[in-house]
Amino acid sequence: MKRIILGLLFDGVDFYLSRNFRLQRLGNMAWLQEHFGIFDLASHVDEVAVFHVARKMETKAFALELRELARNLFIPISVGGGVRSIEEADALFRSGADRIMFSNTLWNDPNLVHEVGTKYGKQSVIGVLNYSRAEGQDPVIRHRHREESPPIALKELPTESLASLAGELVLQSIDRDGTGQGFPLESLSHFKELRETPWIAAGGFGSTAHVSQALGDPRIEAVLTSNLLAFVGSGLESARQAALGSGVDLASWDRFSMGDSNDS
Amino acid sequence: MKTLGVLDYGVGNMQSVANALDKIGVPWDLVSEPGQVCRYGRLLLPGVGAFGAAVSRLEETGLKEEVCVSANAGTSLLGICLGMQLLGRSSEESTGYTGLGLLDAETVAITSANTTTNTGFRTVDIATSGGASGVEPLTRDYYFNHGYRLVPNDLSIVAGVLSWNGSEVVAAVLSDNVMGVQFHPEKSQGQGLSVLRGFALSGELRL
Repeated sequence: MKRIILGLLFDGVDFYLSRNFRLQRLGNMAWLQEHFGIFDLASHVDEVAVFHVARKMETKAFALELRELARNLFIPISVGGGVRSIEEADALFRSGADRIMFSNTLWNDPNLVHEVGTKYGKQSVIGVLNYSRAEGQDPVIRHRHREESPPIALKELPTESLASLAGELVLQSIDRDGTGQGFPLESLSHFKELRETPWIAAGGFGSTAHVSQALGDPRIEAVLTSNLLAFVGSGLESARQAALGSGVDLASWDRFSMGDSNDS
Repeated sequence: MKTLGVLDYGVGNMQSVANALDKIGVPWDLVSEPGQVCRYGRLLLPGVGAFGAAVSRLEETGLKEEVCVSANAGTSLLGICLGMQLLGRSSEESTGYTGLGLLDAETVAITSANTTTNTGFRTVDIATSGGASGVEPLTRDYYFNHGYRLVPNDLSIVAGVLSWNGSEVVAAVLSDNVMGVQFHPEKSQGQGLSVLRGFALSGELRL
């Protein structure tokens, strides 16, 4: 069964849109609910992923906002972007996070990623791989390493060590991020086989057809879209219906009402 | 006697369970002291993380023994995810640690040709007691996120199964007043909240 994941970019106060990893401020959680009905949008997706995009994460403040989000969403919430210690991960799990996403930390501090996986289970860890492709060249992973090091070619990705750290991997296209041009599925052909870790495709989704096409690819377990402009209104619901209509296996669920269970 | 107690042993995602219970509008209390356990007619055992760490915390807090006493006296007990695995005897994840032993079951690692973790919404085939022919089998989609699975020795306690990657995973168990779900009802949209409300109000597992 495949999944549609809604990505939210958050700096601890406000939410953002992104295009090629350049951010545009939207507003705070109340603004997002008022203008995008964020809590209602969640009824059309399988998960929410919150990316902390500020340079430094204030864990306590982030955890408080996460609590507010978790009070209104009854689906899995993944968070990432700035977790630097097991204590910070603990605080986020306690506040409603179900999984922690790691990007640069995969390379800078794999011991921390392993520590979180040992404590909470590898299924609670998601690795995020941000990649781009210069014209005429092979795609490469872009990461901020402590020491200067060259980007990692997708075809040289240490897939076995990544699979030992994370339950799932997000493949995020920087080039397509926020463009609405669709996820470049052809990138997947550059990977060595990675049997044990499901892929989540992110970057470029701008239409229901893009979502259906990616979910129809047997190599893709889930799609992650942060493109609120493309999917506002009934966009996410339409994307889900279109994917179902094209034969993609997606979950169905009920809306909760107090009459669902008989009192006794 | 109070109604619903949520066992808080310092491990896992208490906030999400708390949020879900608030949403469905049932009274509940956190239970962190062994002396409090007997005050409740229904107990919820959440769990995220490693089996061994959870067993250690249950033993350190003194909750493990009291929960067993209450369950053996007939108190309804529902384990969620790791909480369901803790109801069994042991787990491959943490050898040398003993679970609550309320179910004759062991927990083993997920091993399939494709993956070692099971994450996402999955369709659960729900066991029905009637077994009438001509009736559509009952299914529901719930959210799973786990790397280990419970294997009961007595298959009659299996209340729900998911078929996944060519194998079957026990999704729910029911043995009189002791029950468990491998999925996360607090993360499974409306049908998950209905499972929690059903347990809170009736002490029964209603998938």
